[in-house]
Amino acid sequence: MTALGIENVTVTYRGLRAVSNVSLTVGEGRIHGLIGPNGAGKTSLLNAISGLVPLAAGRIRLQDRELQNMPAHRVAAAGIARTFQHAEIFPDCTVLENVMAGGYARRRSTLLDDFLGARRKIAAEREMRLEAEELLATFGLRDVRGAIAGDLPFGTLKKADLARALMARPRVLMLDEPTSGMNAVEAQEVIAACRRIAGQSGVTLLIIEHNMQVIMDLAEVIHVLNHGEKIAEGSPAEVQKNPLVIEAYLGRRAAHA
Amino acid sequence: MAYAVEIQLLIAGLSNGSIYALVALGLVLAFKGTGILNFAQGELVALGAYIALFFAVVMKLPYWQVVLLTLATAALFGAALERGLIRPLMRAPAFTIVVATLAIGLMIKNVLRLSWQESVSTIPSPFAGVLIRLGEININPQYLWVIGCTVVIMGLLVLFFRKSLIGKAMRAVAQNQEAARLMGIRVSRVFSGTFALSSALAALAGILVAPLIGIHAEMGAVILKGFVAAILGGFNSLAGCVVGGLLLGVLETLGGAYIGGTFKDTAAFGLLMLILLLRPHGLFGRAEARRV
Amino acid sequence: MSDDQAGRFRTRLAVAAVIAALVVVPTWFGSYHHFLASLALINVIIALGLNLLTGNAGQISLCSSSFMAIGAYATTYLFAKLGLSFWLALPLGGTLAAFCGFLLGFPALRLRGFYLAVVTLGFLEVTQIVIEQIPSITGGVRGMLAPRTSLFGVKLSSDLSFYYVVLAMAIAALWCAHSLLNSPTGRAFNALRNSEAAAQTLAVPLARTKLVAFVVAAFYAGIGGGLFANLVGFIDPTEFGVWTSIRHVVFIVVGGLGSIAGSVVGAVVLTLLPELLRGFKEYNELVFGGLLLVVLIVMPAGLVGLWPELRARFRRGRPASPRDPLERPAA
Repeated sequence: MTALGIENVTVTYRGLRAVSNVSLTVGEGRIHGLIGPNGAGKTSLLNAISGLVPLAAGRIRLQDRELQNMPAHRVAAAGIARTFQHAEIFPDCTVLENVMAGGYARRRSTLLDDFLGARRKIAAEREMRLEAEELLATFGLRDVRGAIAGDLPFGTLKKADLARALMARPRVLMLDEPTSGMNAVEAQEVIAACRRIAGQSGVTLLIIEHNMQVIMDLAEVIHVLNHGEKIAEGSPAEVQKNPLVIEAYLGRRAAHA
Repeated sequence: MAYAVEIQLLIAGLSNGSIYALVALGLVLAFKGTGILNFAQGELVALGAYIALFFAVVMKLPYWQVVLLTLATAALFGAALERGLIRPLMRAPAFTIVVATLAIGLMIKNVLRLSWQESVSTIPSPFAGVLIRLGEININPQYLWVIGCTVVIMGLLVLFFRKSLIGKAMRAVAQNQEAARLMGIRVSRVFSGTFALSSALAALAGILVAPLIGIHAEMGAVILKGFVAAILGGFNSLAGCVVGGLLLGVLETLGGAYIGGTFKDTAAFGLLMLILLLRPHGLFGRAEARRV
Repeated sequence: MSDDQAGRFRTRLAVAAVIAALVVVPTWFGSYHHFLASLALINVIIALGLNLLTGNAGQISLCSSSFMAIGAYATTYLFAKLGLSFWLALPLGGTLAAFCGFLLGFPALRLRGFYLAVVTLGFLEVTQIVIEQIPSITGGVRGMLAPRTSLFGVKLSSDLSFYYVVLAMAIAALWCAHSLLNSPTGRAFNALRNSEAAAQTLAVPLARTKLVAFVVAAFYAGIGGGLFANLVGFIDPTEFGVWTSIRHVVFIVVGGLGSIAGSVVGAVVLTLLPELLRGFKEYNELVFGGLLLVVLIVMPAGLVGLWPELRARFRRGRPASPRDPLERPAA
């Protein structure tokens, strides 16, 4: 079953076509990769799916719902979560507060509850805190949970961004360069976490990556963008041998070498 | 003569607007050059007026010397202010800097209030007191002097920023501090220079407006109008400040005459509200986009 | 966990001790001090609301004095002129102020930074004009009398008795503010301030969150205004101008943006400080400005930044870094 369907999506940004007529589908519980040279439009595509930038054309489907004109917070509430290239963590808050913020989509207390300090809110807070701490533990972030996020190294922030996105228990999780800023060990942790998320929890993953080893290892299907267009799609093995892909990354001579 | 009253009001409005433009210029220059929103700018206007008062009344110097010495003193004061009090605050959060400049303004105002006991004074200007008559139109030549000075200063500033090395250095620092530093520009000196220039502009406003409204410790309130003028113009460019200031001045004066007293006070915000509804970043402002 | 429980018990004990002190200690002092203490607590209430809006949700507002005014006039009108019970008039006054905050929230949705500040100033101007233009309700420029209310039939004419009422309200205000901050709504505020993009992708509705923040801040200011009018006994329209709003902003900046302790410390210190400086006579404003400047240079994150620094030094940990709610995170 298709979890995420992107049909003929075009995104323009001040007259430039960042994404041009791109279509792809991701099956439920699958892990797909999205690669391409810098400026290919990968992040713009994610931003369009999230609802952060408007679509010039096209459709975005979450199972059977159409999301293309929804405001971003509704898209998130529908079950699409994501991480950011630059982590977009809340630098002022502690790591724990950051991760707990991810639970907003699943809040069980109303505004009045929150304001008056009702029992329901206090109970919900306790539960959410426990959940967040568990999540932090799985990413090895327990030690820094009380630290102010702005003080921490980039790799740690990327992990916190991921934990925060998972807190929402999304159906589709889009990751923007999840291993950037990490050493080999941390990258392996993230890969293992991704497999767990997809396998055990059935979350559908769409991952932008520059680290070829990581994405070839992790993804079942890879989509390749260049200059806003999809130029190739297929299994990691197929994509690696595709001359168009090689040309995009290394130039024409390398493709025909 | 037809439209005699309108022309008189227009000139008065342009004169008021020029003062607002000068205050706005000082604010925007400091902001673009150093990133600091200087809430003491209004008090720097008052300071300029009081310094001029000292040179004119106590030292009894002729007008031209008063003007030059006041501008020089104000510039030095501005540079000293930047070096002594603003510099340590550069890394502080934005709100802290704002409140700190408010505190500085409060201190300046009180020092002025305490050192000059008379409630209202003025400086003798060669233009005040003489009335120009063109048919039925009476013009206070001080108005023309204010407008003229502002136009000339605008022109000089444009030349300064385009042609002179210091001006270009200031523009470089305003756009990208790190890059400017790497190019060998002494950023700290540029900051001091920017504040010096900004203070001199404020002082000029004080000198020009003193013969019209008198000199008193509450003069600093003009900063609100200066802010409105700057935001109207987009808080971005010299031209924006001038257009914003003149627009505000004219609208205020004409409106105050034809609609009434309360309009004069609220014209500033009414105009601003209107413009911001249509153009949320002011007349010449640019939206800041942030890529995620 | 026993550690957690022990910590919670310690906190509860500390809070109880503080409240006991606030109840008992004032009885050792005179009426003037009771008045001052009530004033300080009223400012705490207003500061709490403003800090939620500005320090946490990141929205600049320069019209807190207007919401104070709305609360003051509405409460006093309902109580003194229409004969409603003060204990009903006060929340109604606060609700009217909250409604006005809701209205202000709409233009605020599209603006930020000084554009937003300007719109709030515009609202302040409008409020002042309205106050002057409906003298039948507000007494116009001449102001309005606000006779002291009674509780259970006993008139609270002594400043000490009124102080206890204000204390109860301040404690309630603190409870609600603390509860709000440690809830999904509070985290939505912080998200809004830090990164609107990330907030949206976490399902935080930006518009609604901003409106809620404005409403809460306005409600707090309205309650503060209603209490203020009854404390002073007279409403003077000139009290609610831009400089009063700026004073409120100074409370929370000097105390510490985004922190409840900051609101309390800032409001209390800056309410009491001018009184303490009276001895300087005409130099008092100058000294005040100077002290303000020194505090800000030494503690840019506000007075509450001092506590974590001291605690960190004690425990040989890293000193806390100054939080800046307005700076964009390094991209």
